[in-house]
This record gives sequence, structure tokens and C-alpha cells, in this order.
Amino acid sequence: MGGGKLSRPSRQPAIRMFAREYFESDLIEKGSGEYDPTFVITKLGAKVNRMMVAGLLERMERRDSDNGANYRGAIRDPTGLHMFSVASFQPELHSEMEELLAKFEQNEEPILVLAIGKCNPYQSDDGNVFTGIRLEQFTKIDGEGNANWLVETADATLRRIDNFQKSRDLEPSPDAYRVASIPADLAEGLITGRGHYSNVDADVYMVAVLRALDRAEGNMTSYSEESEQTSESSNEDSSDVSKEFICQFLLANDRGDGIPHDAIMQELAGRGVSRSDGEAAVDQLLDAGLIWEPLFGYLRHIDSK
Amino acid sequence: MTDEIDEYVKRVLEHAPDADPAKVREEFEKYEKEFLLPPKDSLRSVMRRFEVNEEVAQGAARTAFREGKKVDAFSELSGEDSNVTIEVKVVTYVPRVQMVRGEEKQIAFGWIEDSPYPDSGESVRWDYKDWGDHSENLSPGSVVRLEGVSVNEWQGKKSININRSSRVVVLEEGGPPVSLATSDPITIADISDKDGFVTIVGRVMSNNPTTITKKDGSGDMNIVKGKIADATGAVGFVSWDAFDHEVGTLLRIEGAGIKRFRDTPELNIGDRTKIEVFHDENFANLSQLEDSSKLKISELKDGSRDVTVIVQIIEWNERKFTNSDKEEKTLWGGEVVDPTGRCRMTAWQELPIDPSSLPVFATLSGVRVRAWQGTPDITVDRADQFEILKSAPWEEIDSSNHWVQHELTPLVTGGSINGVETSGCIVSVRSDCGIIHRCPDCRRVLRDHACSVHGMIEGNRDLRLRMVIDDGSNSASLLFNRESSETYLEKTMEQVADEIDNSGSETFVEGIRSSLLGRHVSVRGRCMVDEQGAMFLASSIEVDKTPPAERAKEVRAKWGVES
Repeated sequence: MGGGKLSRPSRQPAIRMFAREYFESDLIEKGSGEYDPTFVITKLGAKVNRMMVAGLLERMERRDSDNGANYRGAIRDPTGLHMFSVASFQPELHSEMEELLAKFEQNEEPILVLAIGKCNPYQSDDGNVFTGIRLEQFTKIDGEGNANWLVETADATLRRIDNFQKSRDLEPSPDAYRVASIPADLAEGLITGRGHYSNVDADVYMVAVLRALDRAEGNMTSYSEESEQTSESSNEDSSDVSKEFICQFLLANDRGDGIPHDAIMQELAGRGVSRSDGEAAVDQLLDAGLIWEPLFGYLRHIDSK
Repeated sequence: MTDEIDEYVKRVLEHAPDADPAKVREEFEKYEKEFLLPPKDSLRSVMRRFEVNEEVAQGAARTAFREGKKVDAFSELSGEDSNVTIEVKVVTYVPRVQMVRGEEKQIAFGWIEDSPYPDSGESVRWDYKDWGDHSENLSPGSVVRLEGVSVNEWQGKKSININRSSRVVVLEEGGPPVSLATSDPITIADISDKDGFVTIVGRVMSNNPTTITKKDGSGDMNIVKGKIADATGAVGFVSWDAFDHEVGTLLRIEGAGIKRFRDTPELNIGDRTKIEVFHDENFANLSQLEDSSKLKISELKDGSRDVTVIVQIIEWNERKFTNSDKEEKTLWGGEVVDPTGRCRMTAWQELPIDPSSLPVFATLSGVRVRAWQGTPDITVDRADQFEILKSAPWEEIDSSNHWVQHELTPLVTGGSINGVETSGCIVSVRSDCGIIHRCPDCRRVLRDHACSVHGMIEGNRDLRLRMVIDDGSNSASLLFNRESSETYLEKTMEQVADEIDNSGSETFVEGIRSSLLGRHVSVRGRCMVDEQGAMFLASSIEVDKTPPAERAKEVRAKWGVES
């Protein structure tokens, strides 16, 4: 920082983030100071506190608790789902959430939203990390607004991929990164990330970027086609195996309330199925009507009693 | 004191029965006299001297003073206390290299204050010494919790020792970390983000002996003010000692303190500073340095002096005012531009500028810079600092439409600047956009019809918009005053007030969000940077209407991922 003294931490930038890069992250960094922000460090080295996301509002629900209402939902972009929440202690957002929920439940037209929020990661007792976003502000957007976000986010992701590649062979020290002109906002996350993630394949994010750019250029595949595309791109056999497993798992374990989505993902992870493939399988089962979601985040097989 | 040392000598002898008590005692006395270290702080070191093994020494040192003490104020501490926990504000941090038993040790001293929070009452200031190289966590201005520190009492004065085993927890960040006292020279450009003591090599650019009158009325003092430069920039200095190096001399200055006046660093040369004439054939000569020390408007910083800058004067007026001694004075002022920006200029003597034949191009040398609300104001004190240029140094700038493009990140990390254009995404449209009421006396925004200073009062209606602009790496607050809000909204303040009365401020703000949130925009105006961060006062905003497909192609080209 140039010259001036910083008496309070400056506002965290809003990192343009595709769903896939965010939900594949499982490195949480909490500062040592009492008011230090929490960060999620992605495999590409983005150090995320605040982020800007956009896409199709795919799920949305209100939950009432002792502390008042809170809201949860999911936004789909070309790479996956961003899970978001609005807490009971954010009453300033509640009336807008009600409005959005009403529109969502009317189910008349697709709702595209752009949202700014903060990372809200949760680490379960067994060490799994679930990345979520706590909304700060959002607005409904049109296709053009969505396309603009895709370009913006593709640009930011390409910058991260580029610097990730450049940093691979460097000695992991701030000095070496500075000499190689890795920008200061990425260097820290890249160095920390390197000590945590192994075998990072940046190509999967490149695929995401190219798909986003295609969309922005007008190769607008609709969202339902998208999920079919995902199924084509993932290995057919393994996806069928996953689907079969999910059905069996739901039928065997459901005692009437459904099975938490995360529990299914964990079971799948134990069988070597990645979260993204698992979600794709669940999405396809939902689309096929074989499973349903009686309560947000809980899944039941249609044949469960 | 003597009895106390006896206690510690006994403790050492328990672990090192073969040691000579007199020698142990001598060692403790040496620590006390030479390093102002009380025996309880030096116990571990002394034990190590007498070859007690490290583990035993540590254990003994720890168990000797196991009972920790947590206090809120220095007044609760006595000279005997150790293992103390207290929250303090760091006032200064002055690193020193000290020879300890023939070894160079990095230590530091300074001031700390208890009751570090504004509402926690009167603060008391104590000296401290840092023996544990905690420089990273002890930046001046930060609030820290010291754990496991001890009290040192020397000739009735108590101070805090922060030891190697102490923990320093930062509760509130302070300024930039203090640079360590080192004899390796750094460049002058690097001074701007450092504090503490530095060593530089530079050429004397100016040397002006002056006399100042001490504030306490105890008399006058001779000092020397001047400027010193290297290839990376120039910095002002003040010497409190004799300084008889001529302009043009190349010097190596070791251990000069960095002080800041407003945003501008200045080197302080005192009796601890070492100055020697330096020889380097390849070092830039005087005229090269003079050229490089010419600043552009975008490089001006509040508090700079002895600045040379070339400007195009686009507006010039005379102004009369009455000063506090009831004398009528005349002041001249106007607006100036250069290819990097725009700012104000003020003169205390009449300059040969004809307001009817503007623009005028001029070189200003040896002038001062002050800033008002983030816009630099070049102050010309004497007419001989001003020289009209016969030929224009650049193509005449159309001042009505002179916006200098800056990327957001360098803008928010640099100094305040006027007449700039930048771009980014709007990532927040704050809920308090719209109609507000201001105190007629101080322009503060009224809350519940009351001003925080002047109480309940009838306010003046005003309109403003508050947002945040962000490029993914950095952000700035974005402010629209009434005029620029009206221009952007294409509505008068009255129309906005009616709209809010009819449909509520939430709907008004939602409307702005739906047209701006997440959109890529460019804004024009001026940017103020201070310790609160960056604030951009927008005079206009334009949403980037480039079709996404076109932007996508640009992105592909930029990163080489053509389809």
C-alpha cells in the first residue's frame, strides 16, 4: 500500500467466481486477529472472502427458526451450483427474499440473479468442507446481464489460471512470486493453496471458462440442455453407477424424512465419486422424477415409504 | 536490589552447582547495568551462560514465575510483576541493533499506552523494550494484547519488557510494519511505505539552513532543511545537527528516521545518524536527478515540499480576505492541468498571469503541496518560484473534457487525484441512497432529525447516492453528490423526493441496483485516498454497453484462448 497508514482493514474485493472453483475448495483460512475476515482459498489460489456470482435461481426456500426466518437457495452457472443463504440476522434482506421466493414459487419464468455475498464455509466434524455464500446484495438480471457476468468471471478465472500456471515451478516464497510478477492479490492464496492442494488440474477450470465464453458469445444452450450436456461429458457408465447407488442408498436409509443431500455426497465421495459428478447424478435423478426434495436439502426416492 | 540478585544467584546455583556465585552475580549485574534487564528477565540467559541445559533453564524460568497476571491498566502493575497480560496501543516502535555479548541483536524500544480503546478512559504511556523481535506485530498505531511480558523497574521508573517468550496478539492493525534497522541502503522510492530507521544513498539536491523557534519558548534552533534524490525519486530531509554538504554531494546516510508530514515521508537526521561522502561514478548526476525529480500532477502528495512541476493554468482569480489580525490580504488561485491530472494552485504573491489570455504554461519550482478534500493544492509562496514557458510542453489540454484514465487498483493504492476516469463493477448500492437532511451549520447528515454535534435542528434537504466500485482486486467507495445524482437519474431532487414518498426508499434503491449492480461501469471524478480507504467522488457514470459477445472476444484475445 502506498504510504498511507491503514487504520482499519480495507473492504474485501468481490471476486468473480464460478461455482465449480468455489465448491471444489476445502481450505478455510481464519485470521489470528479477533476481527479478521474468513477466507476460502480455491485450488487456483483465489483468496475469497467476498464474491460476485450469478446465474439461474434453481432452488429457494424459507426456513423458520426460533430466531426468525432464514432463506436458502442455489444459483446455477455453467459450471455448477452456488449455495447461498440469508440469515435471520439480516432482516434488511428479508422482504426482498420474500418477493423472490414468491416469484420462484410461481414458477412462471426462469429467474436470473446476480448476487454479492461473503463466503460462509462450514467444516463438519469429519473434516469435510461445505462452501456457501451469505448474501449481501442481489438483483434480478436479464440474459445480457448474465452474459456480462460470464465474461467478467471468465476474465478473472483466466487471470487466476494464468498465474497458477506461472507459479507452479516457483519456489513458494513471496519474494520469488514478486520477482515473477504474480499479482499481490493472488500470491498469498497461491502459496497457501500449494501447501494444501495436490494434483490440481487447471484444465477443468479452463473448460468452464470456455463454456462460459461460448454462452456469452450467443451460443446460448438452455439450462435443461446443460444438465444433459453434463451427463454426456461425464462418463456414462460411472454416472449410471452413481445414480443406481443413490437410489439404493435412499431406499435403504430413508426413515421418512429424506436423506440430507450432504450425506449422499459423502457416501459418494467414499466411493470415489466427485462432488460435481455426484450433484450431476442427483440433478438427473431429480429431472427424471425418480427422486424428489420434500424439504430443501433433503432427498427422497419416490418409492420410499 | 542486592537481595533480589542473591535470590536469583541461588536459583542458578541450584541448577549449576559448580558455578562460581561471584561470577553468576557479576553476570546478573551486567545484564542489569548494560541492558537494563532485571534478573528475572535475564535468568534464562544467565543459566545458559553457566551451561545449565536449555530445557532446565526454560522450565526454571517458567516455573519461577508461573502465576500470570492479567491487568487492564499499567497502574495495577508493580515492579515485581512478570508473566503479565495486558492490552495496549503501540505508539512508537524504534528498532536498534545492539551488541549483546559480542553478538548483533535486533532489539527495539518505544512507547505503549494502556486503555487502548477510545471509550476505556485515560491512557497512561510507558516505555517498553522488545527483546523478542516482535516487529511484525508491533506496528505503531496497532492495538495488541501482550502476553507473558514483565515489568522492569529502574531508578523508580517502570517499563515493560517484551521477551522472546512473550506473545503479541494483534487486535487492531496499525500502520505499515516497521522496517528493521539495517545498514543496507534502500531506494528513496521504498521509503514511502516504511517507518522506522533506514539507510539510503543519494545526492543532495538542496540545502537550506533555517532557524526555528522552539514551541516552549526556550529559544531558537538552527536546522537544515533540504532534499536528497536518487534515480527512484527524491525525499525531503531535516537535519537537527550541522549539515555542511554542498548541493551535488553524494552521501550515504545511515540510520535516518522516517517521519511523516501528512502523506509525505521526510528523513530526520539526528545525532545517531551516520553520514559519509559516497563515491559512485555511475550514480545519476545533478541535472539527471533534477529532471527525474520533476513531478507530475498525479504524483503530488499532501505535505510535499521543494517540488518542481510543469502545469497548464486554465483558470486564475484574485481573492481578498481578512486574516485573524484584521489585515486585508490578497491571494491568487486557480485550476491547473497536465497530462496526468488536474489540481488547484494558490499563490501568495502576484504572478504574471493574465486571466484573459489563458491557458498559460509554467514551471513551478521549489513549491509546496497541500491537499484539501483530497485534491492537491500547489502553493507558490514567492513569485520567483514561477516561470512562464514560452512553448507549450504538450498539446494544449482541453480542460473541459480532460479525464485521465487510471486503473482502479493503482488509483486506490496511490495518492488523491482529481480529473480521473476509472472503471470496475458496481458491487454494492447502499440502502442509504436517496434523500437525506444535512445540518445547516456543519453539513453532517442528520439522524432522526438530530445532528451529532448541533442537536435537534431543521435540516437542509440533499440528495446523494453511495455505492462501491470494485475491479476484483480492490475497491473504492463511490459517491454521487446532488448534482451528479440528478444527472445520472435524469430526475431533479424534488422528483426523487416525490418518488420516495410515493413508493418508498427500498423501491428506489432496488431500481438503482437493478440497473447498476454487477454492471461494468466507468466513472469520472476525483479520488480521495486516506486511512479510511479510497473514496471516489463521481461527477458522471456510464454503464459499459459493449455487447457481451464482443467483450468475450476481447477476453479470448487477451488470454490467448481463441475459439
